[in-house]
Amino acid sequence: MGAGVQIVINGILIGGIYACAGLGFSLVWGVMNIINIFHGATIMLGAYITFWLFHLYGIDPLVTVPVSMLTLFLIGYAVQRILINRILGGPLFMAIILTQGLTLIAVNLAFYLWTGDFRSIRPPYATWSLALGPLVVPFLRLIIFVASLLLTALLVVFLGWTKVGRAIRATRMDRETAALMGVEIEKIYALTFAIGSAIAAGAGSLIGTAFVVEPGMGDSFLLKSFVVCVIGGLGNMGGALVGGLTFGLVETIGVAVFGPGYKDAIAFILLVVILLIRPEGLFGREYYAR
Amino acid sequence: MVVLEGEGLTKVFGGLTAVSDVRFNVHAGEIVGLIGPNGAGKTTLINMISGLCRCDRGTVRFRGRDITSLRPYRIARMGLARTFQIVRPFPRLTVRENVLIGALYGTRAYRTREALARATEVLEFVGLADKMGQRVADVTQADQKRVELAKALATEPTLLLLDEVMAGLNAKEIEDVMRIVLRIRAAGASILMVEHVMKAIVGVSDRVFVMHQGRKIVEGRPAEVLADDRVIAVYLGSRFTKR
Amino acid sequence: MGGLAGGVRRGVTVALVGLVGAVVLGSALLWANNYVLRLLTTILMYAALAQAWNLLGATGYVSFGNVAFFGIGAYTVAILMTRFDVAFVAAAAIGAFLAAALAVAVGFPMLRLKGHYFAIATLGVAEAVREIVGNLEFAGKGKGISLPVMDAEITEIYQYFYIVMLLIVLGALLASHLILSGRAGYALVAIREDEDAAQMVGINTTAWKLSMFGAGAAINGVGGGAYAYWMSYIDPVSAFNFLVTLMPLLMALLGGVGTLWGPLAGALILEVLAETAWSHFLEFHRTVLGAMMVLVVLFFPGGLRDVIHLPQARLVGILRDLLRRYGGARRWWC
Repeated sequence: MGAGVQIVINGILIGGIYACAGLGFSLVWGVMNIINIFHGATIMLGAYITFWLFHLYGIDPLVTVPVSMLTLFLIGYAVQRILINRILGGPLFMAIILTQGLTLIAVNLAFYLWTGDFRSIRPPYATWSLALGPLVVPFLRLIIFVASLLLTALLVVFLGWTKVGRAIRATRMDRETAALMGVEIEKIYALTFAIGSAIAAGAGSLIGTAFVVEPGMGDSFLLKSFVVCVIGGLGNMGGALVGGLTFGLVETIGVAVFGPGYKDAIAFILLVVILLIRPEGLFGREYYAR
Repeated sequence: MVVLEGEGLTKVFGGLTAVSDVRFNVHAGEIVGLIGPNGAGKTTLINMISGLCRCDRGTVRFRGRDITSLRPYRIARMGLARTFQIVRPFPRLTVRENVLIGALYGTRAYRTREALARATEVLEFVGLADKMGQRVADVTQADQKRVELAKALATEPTLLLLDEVMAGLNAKEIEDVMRIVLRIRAAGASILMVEHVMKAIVGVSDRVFVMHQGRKIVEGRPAEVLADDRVIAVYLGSRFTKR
Repeated sequence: MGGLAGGVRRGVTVALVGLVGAVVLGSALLWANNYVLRLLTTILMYAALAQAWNLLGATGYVSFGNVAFFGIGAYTVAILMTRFDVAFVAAAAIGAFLAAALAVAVGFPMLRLKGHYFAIATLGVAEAVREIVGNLEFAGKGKGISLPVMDAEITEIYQYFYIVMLLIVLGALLASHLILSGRAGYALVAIREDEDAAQMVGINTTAWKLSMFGAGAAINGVGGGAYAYWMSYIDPVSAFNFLVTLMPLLMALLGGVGTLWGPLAGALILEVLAETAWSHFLEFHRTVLGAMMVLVVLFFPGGLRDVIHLPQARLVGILRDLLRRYGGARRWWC
């Protein structure tokens, strides 16, 4: 009983991180119909920013989150504005190849500059934990979970209550009509990509404190973002949250049942099965029927 | 002889009943018009007949065979062709290649060389022979409508479903297409056509039925149907019915 | 496609290029040293994989999971040769069959998905297969499998695998020719252009997509099998390397999706570039690879046809555009 509840707690805590990791990816896919492979590299870069700020200057990881968000916001804006905007309207997979190319470059440079060493970020409170009877809640995981929820909430508020957010949502629903209403599509796309990147970088900073930091870390989170997005439905922020939590639970329970070797296999089988039975996501609606 | 008949055809989208218990038939060599205001369920009915969307209830029989649950390509090969209201050619191929594909796969009787000759014939029939080599994306909307028609004809159908082939054409183009439609019938095919252009409906069809809100409300000869109070009410509102 | 009346002159050009290619490739055994032979073998392998990708690619469906079939072929050959003493050729044939069977099994439900959903589903299948294989006891788990090394001189081994890959490419080329240049080619293009409309003229779209996916998987399976025997060692990381999905895709894209010779040309160009990057910028070879992908997408999205049509004009256009947009007095972030 206690062990079961503990598994559920672990699953939910990890699910919050997955939700946060998948959020920006879902936004970009939903609004622009782009599969952003660079999302994984963005998470990696966010994690490294936190690692270096903590390692060199002793800045608390949580304090570094806005720094990495801002940095990747700018990079994301430039990437969309200069590169991806050029190829919209072409075949769907062009953006996949373009962002995959950027990923190879970023990962290669990270490897060159910072080596392939596994790094970890250990703030003083890394070892704290809350004990509730037989149950253990690692303090750091809880903090990350809460921070993930805050980031998600921030994005939901932004999309729902700001002018730019409304323009983004309008563009997602109907690009042509939005353009006729005076929305500058290219700018909105660049902003959307930048916001997606910022959220991913924030997620990366949080992920860095809970997992190892290394140049190739983005791959696994990119694939997890696919799963989150497919469960939650495209461009649906609440869906991403539910998707992340569901995925975290399924993965944790799956590992408890089948053993840790099948951790990723569970994720991918889940991905394929959901795509086959409900391609619009378990909780989502389709914005692009393509 | 009845070529095509539908019975109890029903299609529900979410809570909306798009087509409700529709029964109709088309005889050999007949041109049947299908009219009704926007949203009446005409295109849905065409989609149900051609297999593009599944029927929730009811059956479609074509030349005596039940084709209700068949995949669209099987229906097409049996000799039931259709056009789309919003034309759907293969845009990056040439006019002739579009029609060639219809001849190659609709009948499966021709080798490529024969199919090519057949495509040329069909294009001459619809009056597009001089544009054979152009990409479909580069020809006018009116010509694209003809390509759509030619593509369907190339499959050598016994029955042709035409979904608003005349919409958006000018008066002269409409007359051209009317003439083509009559010639298709003269060549032995039956036709079920959805149309808003009343002149065309009256001019070519032997029989008309009217749909409104998913139901078939009136059926009969074109002149009678257009004079029917219920039809006038549907199109213009009941104010105009009794004068 | 180019149509049936595609022009005799182009046919002659292709035949000439083909002839020169055949002479160069055929005589390579006489003049090439081991290094060149290894490079040529790699090019040939990728050429076959690019052709395999191109079959389904012609219908407009983008598979991001072809390495699953490559890996299945590699593991089938490895397991059959080490555990059951099956001869290589027979093992490779079985690998191709299993790969195609897997493709048909997963393809049947998956090919209903469109666009990105299909791409992601195939990616998911590839990753799932890798994870599952990496957990199987009889597949050596993560440690991988060592295959029997051929009992021959090193040069003979190089020559053997060169010939094997050459045969695979020729087989793939013949299959592609029969499919793309005949009436089947029109069915595939029709599916690419408009799938519903293709059904309406009598094309069995499901059967075409499935058989192309299966045929591509079979070629991948043979290629993977040959790769395993050639390397004489495989593990989940090397047999299910994502680059084996990505490179052929990129090669087909560069050469021209849906064309017969495009994937071959793309494989030649990209592999030579990749090899150059590898030997000159070892530390940055992935950067070079990534830059190549970005450049292909930005400047030659239509493949080699764009290269032939004055790329410098395009380049100048893009630079001017960039300058106008970011170099002027306007605030660049607006």
